Parts: sequence; C-alpha cells; structure tokens
Amino acid sequence: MSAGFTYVDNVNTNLICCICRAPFLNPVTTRSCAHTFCLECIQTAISITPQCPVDRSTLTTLDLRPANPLLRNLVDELTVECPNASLGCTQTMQRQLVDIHLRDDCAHASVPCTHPGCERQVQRKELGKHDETCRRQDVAMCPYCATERAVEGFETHKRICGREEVVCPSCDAVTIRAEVDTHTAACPLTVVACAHSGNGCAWEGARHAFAHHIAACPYEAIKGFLSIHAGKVAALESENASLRRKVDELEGGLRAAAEEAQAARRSLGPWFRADASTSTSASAVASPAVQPQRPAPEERVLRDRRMSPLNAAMLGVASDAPFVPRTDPSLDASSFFPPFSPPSEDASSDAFPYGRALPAAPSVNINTTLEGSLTSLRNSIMTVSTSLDTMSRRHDVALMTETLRMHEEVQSLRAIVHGLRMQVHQIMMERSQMSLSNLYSSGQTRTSEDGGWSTRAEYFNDRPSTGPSMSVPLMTTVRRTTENKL
Amino acid sequence: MSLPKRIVKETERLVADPAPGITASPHDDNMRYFDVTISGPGGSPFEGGVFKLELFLPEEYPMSPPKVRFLTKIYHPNIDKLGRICLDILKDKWSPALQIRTVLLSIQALLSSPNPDDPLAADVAKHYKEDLKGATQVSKDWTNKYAVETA
Repeated sequence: MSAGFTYVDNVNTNLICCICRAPFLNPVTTRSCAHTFCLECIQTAISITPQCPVDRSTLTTLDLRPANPLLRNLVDELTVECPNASLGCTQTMQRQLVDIHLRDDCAHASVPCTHPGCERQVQRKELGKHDETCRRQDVAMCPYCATERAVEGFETHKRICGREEVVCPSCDAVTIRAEVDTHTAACPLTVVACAHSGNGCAWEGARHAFAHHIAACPYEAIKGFLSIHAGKVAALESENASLRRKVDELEGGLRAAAEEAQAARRSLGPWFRADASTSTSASAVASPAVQPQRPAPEERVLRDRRMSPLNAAMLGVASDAPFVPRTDPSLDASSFFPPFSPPSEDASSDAFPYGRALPAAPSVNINTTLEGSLTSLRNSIMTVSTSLDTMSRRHDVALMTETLRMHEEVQSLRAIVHGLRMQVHQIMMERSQMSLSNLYSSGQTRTSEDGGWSTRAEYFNDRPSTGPSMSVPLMTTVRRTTENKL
Repeated sequence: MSLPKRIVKETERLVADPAPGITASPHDDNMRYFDVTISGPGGSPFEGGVFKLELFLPEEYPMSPPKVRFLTKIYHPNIDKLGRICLDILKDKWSPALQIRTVLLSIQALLSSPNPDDPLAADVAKHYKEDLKGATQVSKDWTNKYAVETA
C-alpha cells in the first residue's frame, strides 16, 4: 500500500494501483495475467484470496515479478511533497529521493537524541536545543560493562571497569578485571613465596612448583617449633606492653607526687629546709665516708631548732649539747639563719643561773607533722615568755634592794655633809664676826648678809629631797654595772 | 486510527462525481459508515423508487468486502426481509480491486435482473419462478408503497 505520499501533480490513471488507489509503489506484475500491483498490496490480497483481484485468476506470490523498469522509473520519478509537510517542510522532490531527504536534509525529520539512554525523538532543527536540556547529556555508555556512566569521570571508570578484559601477566589467560584476584590466587604460573618466608626461607617460584619445594624446605621440618616460639614471643610482647603501661602509670603518679611535694615546699617556706636537710642527712647515713664529717642527725636537728645560742640557753637544751656549729664549715643553718653574735660559753651558762631550773621545753621532733611542730614551738615560746616574766620580777626585787641600800648610804652621807656644813658655818660666822668688828659697825648691812646666807643653805638642804627623779638614772647605772658583770 | 487514503479518495470521488442514480455520503462521526440511496433502474419493477441502504467499510477494507444492507423494504428474490443482499461480490467473489462505486452499481444491476436461482428469500424466489407476472406486480406495489416519496 501507499506509504502516504502526497503527489504534487495529477497522476496518469495507468500508474494507479487498483487496490490502494495510489501510484504504484514497488510495482510487480503477474506472470500469468500481466496485471500490475504494488508489491505490498498484492501480497496482502493473495494471502487472503489467492486470486488476481482484477480477473480472479488463480495467483500465488511465485507468479509475481518486478514490473517493467520503465514503469518503475515512471512512478519513482513522480514528484511528491516531503512527508513532513504537515510539520512545515515545503520541499518537493522525486519520490525515490524522499528517503535521502529525510535522512540527511529535512529539518523537520525526527531524529533520535544522540545521548545514550535518551529515547526522545526530536526534529533535526531542534536537536541543538534539545542537547542543551537533555537530562541524559551527562551520560555515556561504558563499552565493557554496558552500564551508563556520567561523562564526568567516565575515563576513570573505563580504566577500572570490572568487566574490562585483562591478561594475566603470568599465564596469558584472559579474564575480566573483577576476577583477576580470583585468577591470581589459583594461577599455577604465578610466582609465590614459600609459606615459611616469614621464618627466613628465600625460595620463590611458580605455584605449581611449590608442592615440590615444600617437601624439601628445611623450615617445614621445624614448623612445630616455630609456631610454639611465635606463640611465646607474642605472649612476651603482650606482657611487655602491659608492663610498659604500668610503668607509664607509675611515672605519671610519681610526677604528680613531685608536683604535690613542690607545692608543699612552696607553702612551707623556710620550714621546708629542715625537712630537706633531714632527708639529705638521712640519705647521707647510708654512706659511711660522709657520716663522720657531719654531726649526727639528731644533733643537727637540735642545733637547727635552736636558732640562736641565747634561745637554746633559755630552752635549757644547749648547755649539755656540744657546740658544734662553729667548727663545721658545711653547716647549712649558719647561712640560713642570720648569725648572732656568739656569746662565750661561760656567759651563757653563768649569766642565767635560773636557766637550768626551768623545766626543759619539749624538743621539736622533726618527724612530727608541721602542726605538731608549731604546737610545740608555741609551747616553747610560752615557756620563754614565762621565764622572761619571772626574770623581770627578780630584777625588780634586786633593784629594790639595791636602791634601799643606796638610799641609806645617801642618808648617812647627807648627815655627814650637814655636820660639815654646820662646822663651816660656824667658822664663817666667827670669821665674819671678826672682820665686822674689825671694820665698820653698821646694823643694816649685817642684816642683808644674813638673809643671803640662809637662802643658800636651804638650797643645799633641799637637794637630796629630789630622790624620786634621781632614782631612775641611779637604777640605770646599777643595771649597766650588772650587765657588765655578765 | 486515521482513515486509509484509499477510503478518503473513494469518498471524495463519490461525493464529487456520483454514479447515475446512486448517492453515498459518509457519517460525520464515522467516515466508514455511509448512507446510500439507489434509484430503481428503468424498465424494472423497482423503477421510480428510491431505496435507502447502509454501507460499512470494515477495518480490513479493501482486503475484505464492505457490508451493505437495504433499509427500505423491497420485494426481491435476492434480498431478504432484513435487507440482506445475496450478491457474490459482497461475499466470496470480493476483490480488493473493487470499490464502493462498483459495489453499488452491482446492487443497482441486481435490481434490474433478479436471480431466483440463487435465492435468499425463498418464498419470493418461488413466487418469481411460478408467477413472474404476479411477483413483478408485487414488487411494483412494494416499490410504490415503501420506496416512493409521497409528495
């Protein structure tokens, strides 16, 4: 039947197929009755009724033969419109050129999108526009695995595609890439190392020769020993690791303890020194070479605690202890405590005879806590203040006694002076009597001279009565004398 | 489905260049369905009558014949009471080279020459065989009765 051509000119009725009523398309002529039909038309008609549609003579497809070339050319050269005329193509051409026009030229012909997977048919003139919006434009087809891939990264995929065929480097067998590992694991020509390579066997060879090698491998014979050995080494390594962990923990603890000690040292201030010297001397005990040069630890403690010889005397602990510090050049305490002027040992023992009578203050034990030390120190200070108080009272009693004695002496001296004054006065009176009688005899003058003398006499008498004000310098003098005796 | 070009061409020609005494016009809603009228041929008992028929082109047309039926009652040995027509080209003698026009012309010719030897309506055929004159008269009566437009 006609493919639906639209003929531009009127066609001669002799060129019309009686079945499809259109100009012959691929005309055939019957051998028996010489009627001409389109090939498709007559084939369909014969399949229903094996007769010539014109004269009803019996007909089969074997009776058909191509029509005369002259006839064929006549119908093939008929001018037709482009089949896409309804879409806008205005071209006309010979009927035989329609296919070429549709394939190559016609702007309105439907062509498939060039992107794989896109099933759209678009007019040729709109292909460019479609390309820009085609959702499949980023897709390409992998030739190996026949799957769609994004254009971006497509080359990368092709290099690693699991379906690509690759050649085994050992045996030249062809496999796909995804199965290369499987093949290599079984390929008899692949070079493998001995199973005992970890233990030192240097043998390498094709897989099929491995069985032969393992029979002679020296390591195979001691395989059992090696496995036991490996087990032991592994156990030791794990134990070593756990020990290392423990050491790390202990080091951390040690560091923390050191930091705490540092903090404690800072807060202790000067107190820490004693502690440190104790520890150093305690450590020094360990070496006998050092020991003799240093005082025994307890002596050092006492000495350091003493702070000054005076204090020590007051505490009543120094008198029995040998006074080593001056003889020991390596003494730390001398540089740490400000040096006091060292009084002589005689003075320390004699000047305070009451020192021994005092109850001995509890000696500070360095092994006790700081709080305990402070408590004992406070006790010592209280003791010291008590003894100071006692001493001052005794001082006062002694002063009083001394003052009374002096007072009596002054009284006796004053009596002596008075006697002397009386005598001098008598002498003076006698002498003035004599001179007056010698010179003028005038009562007025004599009177005024008597008043002057009496005033002066009063002054001398009053002088000792200022005792209270004079008592202090007197006592000071006595005190100084006493100290000089010390 | 679109109409084959052949049907379009035949329809165009039927309307533009109708055969004498025959009209055929397709339905607007179904281009394969035609309303047909055939005038009774001159010299036949059906002269003067205008017979209405319906014609339907099946899907296989032109490889299978069109289906044609009389709508107007007619007294004819080859046409039964339901209007079915006994005509060889509408059955086994159909050829794709035939057309609507040729079919209708054949029917018109059938009216001119009834064939009681190949009957469809047996009683009519028997009447035609035994009493041609009387049967022809009945046909004329029927034509006047059913196929003539009363003015």
